[in-house]
Amino acid sequence: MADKKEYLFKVLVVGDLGVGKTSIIKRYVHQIFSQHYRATIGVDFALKVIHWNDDTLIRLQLWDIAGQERFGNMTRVYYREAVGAFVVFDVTRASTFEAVNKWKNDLDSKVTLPNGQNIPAVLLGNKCDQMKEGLTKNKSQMDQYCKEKGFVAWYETSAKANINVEEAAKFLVGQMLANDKTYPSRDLDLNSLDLNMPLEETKTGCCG
Amino acid sequence: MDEVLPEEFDVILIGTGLPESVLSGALSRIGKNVLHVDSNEYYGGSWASFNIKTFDKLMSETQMHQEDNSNPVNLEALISEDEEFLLMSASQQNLSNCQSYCYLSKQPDWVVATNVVEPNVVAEPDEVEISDDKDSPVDVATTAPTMVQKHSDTEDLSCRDVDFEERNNSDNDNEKPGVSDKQSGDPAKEKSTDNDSRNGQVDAFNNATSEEKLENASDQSSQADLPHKETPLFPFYEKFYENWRRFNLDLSPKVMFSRGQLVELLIQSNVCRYLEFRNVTRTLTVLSGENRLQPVPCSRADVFKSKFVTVVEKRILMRFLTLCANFEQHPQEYEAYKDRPFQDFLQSKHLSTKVQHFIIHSIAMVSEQTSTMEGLHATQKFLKSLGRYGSSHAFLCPMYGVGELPQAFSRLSAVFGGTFCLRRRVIGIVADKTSRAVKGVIDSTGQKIKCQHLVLDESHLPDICRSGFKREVSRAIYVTDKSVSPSETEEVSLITLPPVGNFPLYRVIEAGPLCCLSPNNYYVVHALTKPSCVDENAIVDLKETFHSAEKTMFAGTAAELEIANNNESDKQKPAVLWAAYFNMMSCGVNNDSLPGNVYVMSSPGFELGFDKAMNEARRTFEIICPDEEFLPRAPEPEEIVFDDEGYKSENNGNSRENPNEQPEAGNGDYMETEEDLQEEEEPDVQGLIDQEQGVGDHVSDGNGDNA
Ligand SMILES: Cc1cc2nc3c(=O)[nH]c(=O)nc-3n(C[C@H](O)[C@H](O)[C@H](O)COP(=O)(O)OP(=O)(O)OC[C@H]3O[C@@H](n4cnc5c(N)ncnc54)[C@H](O)[C@@H]3O)c2cc1C
Ligand SMILES: Nc1nc2c(ncn2[C@@H]2O[C@H](COP(=O)(O)OP(=O)(O)OP(=O)(O)O)[C@@H](O)[C@H]2O)c(=O)[nH]1
Ligand SMILES: [Mg+2]
Repeated sequence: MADKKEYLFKVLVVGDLGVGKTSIIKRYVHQIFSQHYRATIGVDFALKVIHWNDDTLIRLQLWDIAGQERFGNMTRVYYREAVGAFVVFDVTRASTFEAVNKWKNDLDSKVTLPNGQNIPAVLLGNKCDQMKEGLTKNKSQMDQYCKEKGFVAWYETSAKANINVEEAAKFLVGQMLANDKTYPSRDLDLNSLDLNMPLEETKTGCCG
Repeated sequence: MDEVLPEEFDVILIGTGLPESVLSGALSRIGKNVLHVDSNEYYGGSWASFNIKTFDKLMSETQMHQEDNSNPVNLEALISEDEEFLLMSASQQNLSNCQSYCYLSKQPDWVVATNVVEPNVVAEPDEVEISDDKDSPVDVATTAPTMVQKHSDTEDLSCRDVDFEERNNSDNDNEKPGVSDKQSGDPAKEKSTDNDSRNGQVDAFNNATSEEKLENASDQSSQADLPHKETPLFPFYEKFYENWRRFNLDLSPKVMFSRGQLVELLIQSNVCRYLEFRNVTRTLTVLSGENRLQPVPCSRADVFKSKFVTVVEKRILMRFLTLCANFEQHPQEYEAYKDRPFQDFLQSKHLSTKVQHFIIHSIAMVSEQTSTMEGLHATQKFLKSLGRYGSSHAFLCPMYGVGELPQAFSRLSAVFGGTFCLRRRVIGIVADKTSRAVKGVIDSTGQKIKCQHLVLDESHLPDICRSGFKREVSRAIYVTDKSVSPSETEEVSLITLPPVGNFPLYRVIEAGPLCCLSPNNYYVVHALTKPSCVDENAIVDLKETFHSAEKTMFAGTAAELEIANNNESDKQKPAVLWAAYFNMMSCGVNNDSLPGNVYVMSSPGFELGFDKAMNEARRTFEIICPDEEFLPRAPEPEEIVFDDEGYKSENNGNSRENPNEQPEAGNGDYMETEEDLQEEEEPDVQGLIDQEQGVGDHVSDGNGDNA
């Protein structure tokens, strides 16, 4: 199709230590789960290409919290131009749920959509394979919580058992697509310099 | 953040300024285990950029970090017999004499109600405060210039709103509504005779008649009989602060030489993917005896096109710059002047006064006294950068402010495993009594963290390693309503205002929405000068320090212009809507008292570019990791293949496909034109003459210098 539309969406994946952020990304992007715990080194984001439908191609950048940037002190680079987020907690650990509010507030204070609204955030209660009735057992309470805190949805997920990861991502992509249609994305006529492209003053972004 | 940190690291870095962040990125990149802490809640230290509300707040805070609400740490339990403890100073004093002002009127009720209301009704508060209310961070009175914030350093007189008293010294008791003096009754007030005694001196500078009239007019207005204006000249205060988040105001504005070390490093390490840049699009200056900014011709094309230099000047300038570009190959040209002032050398080359001015102040950016060798090197450095990213541009600046730079390197460090912790204060260093080597640090939560090496920014030195504070750079920041030299397209300007009379040299950088430093229709003007008095306790009136620069660049403050009939003011020049003044401090390092494995990174100084900071980071890296590569290329996410074992880099960035593939095009406008020096080129001369007469424009596009 000649008029196939392409989108690039930057999605932030935040949440406390060890809740399974990296596992969820690995599951979603690479269909792999590893019991082995390791810090993520040297990677800014994982890229997932989605053939949404016949005329829509989506490139999803999933930005993990860099290895140890986990004290919640991410730099602007991390937030810049994000259009969606997953806030992850571990259904087996209450403290990680308590931290959800902090993560959500952090997002809302650091990044907004071009129209000034908060970026859509989906709450993920991960490791639901471990506890049938974990922190998310009261569904209506969870719904209420999400409404109060401004989450667009919540899911019980398991990176290990591959539960709801795909669904959650699909929902968020739908939100981001809808948002993208309501307002034009950033002006592209004011492109900045690319340091790798000398003497070409109007190139998209920096360094590709 | 009181989370417990791991107990041991290879390197601990304190402060997230640029050199520390570059070093942190470089260390993590090669696999060192790094802890990077900062007592601030923001990245960048003295290199940070802030939105305008945060900036107002910063200017008003007594000290940058004072919330020491942590429990006292029981040191005895943490320090063993053979260890000693070096206490870190609790206050950091990177900034002093801070003050900020908003010159816009608060929206009076009649604007909303369309009914006429006495404006002085609004002018009620006599104290200006920061309010937490988002829509109106500060209470202001109508019309009167307002000191937004005050740095209430009790030892420092100069933070008072002396401007008001001095300029209206006919009536010292006449406190304007809306102008606060939070320090009433404090030591500053008692010493006010000091201020008075300086008034005569101040007025000598201040005798510009239009200024005086503006002041007088402003006087009357505050007596509350300001007539209503149907269309205010300037946005209301509320409107202005509506866009507070879109300002990015630098503590240390600088520009990047296109061939400077920072640009090379950004490319080499691939950190540039985190950043966006713009060209500095023009260089401006003021010639002596004039009061008007004019463009400095730098590139060959500029020189051709310039209307400010004659044909003969053009030719001599062109030859001279070509010589400077490759001066090492022509020692006979400058041998005799090696140790003499650069200016003498310029004179010997028959450069006119105007052209000498351009070279000294705007191209080499040195002083008349600088030695010829230094001048030649500086000129060459500029010429090398010229044309790399645009035919007549030599400098770049990061979008969203200089504060993005340390953050980009910090991100690199974090991506490669560095642990970052803001809002974490280190209270002191633990050193071995006998070897004097640092063994670790103790933070304000009472945690002892071990390390092999410790990197500090200057402001975090333990007291005993300090040799005393001094003022390093005096700063002013202005938000204006238009460019200092309006043109069709938005420009990014580097401006040198050479010293005149008692006034010093000012370096000025102006940028706006294009660099995302301000919302649309506003400009940010950064002015820097060397402090007239470096002593931290001396009284300075920073407004006075910048008076001459302000007169050259601006029509006046919005408050002044709103009152004055606008025929008074130079309509071409911008109005100042908001301003801040402060001194950047440096504290000398007493190297003798410094343990061997402690490295101190300097605060940003007056230097224009980033080479000093980059050198410092690189040198320290080479000491800590003698055989390692400094910032090898980080792979793009696409280059990372994934297997069951986890993420793995295909090409761990250590080998580029083509290591020599560096941007080479546009290599120095004057660099490859050796022959120009040897021979006169007749066509060139003809070209120059044609140009002068407006005939033919062979050089209109970029580097077309061999027309
Ligand atoms: C530490 C910190 C980092 C931030 N980083 C970003 C970021 O990387 N990307 C982001 O979009 N917002 C960022 N923000 C938020 C940003 O400063 C604004 O608060 C937000 O964009 C909404 O601004 P606005 O509605 O006033 O302006 P708008 O008119 O909505 O902004 C205009 C456009 O500029 C973008 N923009 C504004 N400020 C920044 C900025 N500082 N950096 C990058 N883009 C910006 C906006 O996203 C928007 O597309 C950050 C805020 C903080 C405190
Ligand atoms: N049972 C179960 N374990 C999981 C699941 N997701 C992740 N884990 C495990 O939880 C641990 C932490 O997972 P990570 O993906 O590394 O978590 P993270 O949030 O990226 O952690 P940090 O990067 O250290 O903050 C690992 O041992 C995973 O194997 C899940 O859905 N179910
Ligand atoms: Mg992880």
